[in-house]
Amino acid sequence: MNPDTRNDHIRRVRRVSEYIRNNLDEELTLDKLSREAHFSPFHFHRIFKAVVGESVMAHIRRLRLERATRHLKKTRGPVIRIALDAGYETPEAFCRAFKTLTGFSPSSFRKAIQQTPGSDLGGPGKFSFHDEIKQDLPSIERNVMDIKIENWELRKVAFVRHLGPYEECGTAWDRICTWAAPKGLLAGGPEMFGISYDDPETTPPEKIRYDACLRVEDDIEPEEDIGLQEIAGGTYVVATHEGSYADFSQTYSYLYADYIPANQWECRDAPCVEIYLNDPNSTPPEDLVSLLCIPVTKKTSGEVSG
Amino acid sequence: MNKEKNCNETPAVIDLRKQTREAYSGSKKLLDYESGEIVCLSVSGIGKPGGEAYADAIQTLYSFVYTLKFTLKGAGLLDFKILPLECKWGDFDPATTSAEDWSWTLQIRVPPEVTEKQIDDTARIIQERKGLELTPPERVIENGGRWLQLLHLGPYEKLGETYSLLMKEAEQRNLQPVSGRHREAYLSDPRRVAPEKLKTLVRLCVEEKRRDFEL
Repeated sequence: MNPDTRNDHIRRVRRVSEYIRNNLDEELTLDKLSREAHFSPFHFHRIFKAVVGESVMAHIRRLRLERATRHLKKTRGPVIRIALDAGYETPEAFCRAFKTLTGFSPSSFRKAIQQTPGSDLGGPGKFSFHDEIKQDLPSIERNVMDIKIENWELRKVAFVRHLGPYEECGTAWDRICTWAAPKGLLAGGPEMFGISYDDPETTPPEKIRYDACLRVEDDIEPEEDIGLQEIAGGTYVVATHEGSYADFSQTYSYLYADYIPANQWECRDAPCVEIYLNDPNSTPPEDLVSLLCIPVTKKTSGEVSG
Repeated sequence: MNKEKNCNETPAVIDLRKQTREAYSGSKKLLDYESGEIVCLSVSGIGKPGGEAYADAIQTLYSFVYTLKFTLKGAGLLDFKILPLECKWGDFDPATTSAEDWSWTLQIRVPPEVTEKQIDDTARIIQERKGLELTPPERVIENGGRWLQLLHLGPYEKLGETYSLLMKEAEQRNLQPVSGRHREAYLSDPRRVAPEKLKTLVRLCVEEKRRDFEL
């Protein structure tokens, strides 16, 4: 990988991490953070995860929890106050998260720390902080078998918007197919695309957006729950993913953290598109083949939005 | 299509795999099972596998089966899981017949509830939209029987090796193949999957050896 491009990605993500650390009491939205990093909101959550190894929200939760740990050690304030400062609505939720991170309940952690003279933030047990972004990008187990650069024409698609966990997006496909079949639109090799907008680890399940899209001719009009939109033309990095849809994030991480910066590409301000080459209802997950398509442009010198 | 039923009704999904589990099993072991008659959408032709006629037949079958499934589902009449593409080969010797002359029947199994009228209606829908003069698939009933089945992993060119294994197994069980009744079911898409990873179910229809064969 070209070290300059990789460092640019790391530098921009580190700047966001610093921003988060300095603004833990603020409302930290993906939009605000992506602007801070000069990344398109369509790609920011995947780039962040690819570089840091955890989602934006998991990162924010961890930094808030680690700050709470320091407060537990250095202050005598009530646990409930520290829990609320860490962004938890109840002390119980705080205790569960704290125990997951450190292996201790907040009170036993505080007791152990305060009874052990000279103990540092390493604290009792094997608990240690790890809030530095690694210099080396995470090692990624990937299922990418082929990557191509393609130039797409603009495509008009009919789509059904699904709000909810990605695993349930089959209902949107059922709807668009039952709409399209009587019109003859499923014959002759239909072109279908999925657009996954949100990070399921960051966005509440009921707000996760997914569009099931079917390419249509110009004479099709929108109706009821069937919308029309355009899939941007231009250059796309198209990676073939073999295997379960649940493993898409590994392939995305490889593309965002490695392939795209290494090849001097910059993400464009347009969503990623997924193309499913076989039917998940009749194909075992290990035999599924999909194309993950990221809109890109050649990187220009200096920082550009992307 | 008959739309008298309430469009909001969601028909139960018919999964034909569950009726004969062995027939679509990915097991690497030899399977020996019996199955009853089945209903298929069926397109016959002559030509090299992967050639134009063969590719057109596949496109026709998938166009029909998906249009049929979702039109019936949308009308609240019927819903079913789509099964893999299958091929029934004509009665010829591949070793001595040019691939251009191979005869085949490509099929996708559908529930017996699917009627010829529904297939005709589907043809009309597709022709109106796409302006294609498609020859609709036939609704064909295939007889049941006793089957020996193996999963073939690898390129289609080596399917003959799996047929040889099945013939040996049949011999050991004192069975003989029923002429013209061997079938293949394609679990992988050859356009997307590397040849060495292709999965194909190879089925040989067999019967007890006749007495005169034993003499």
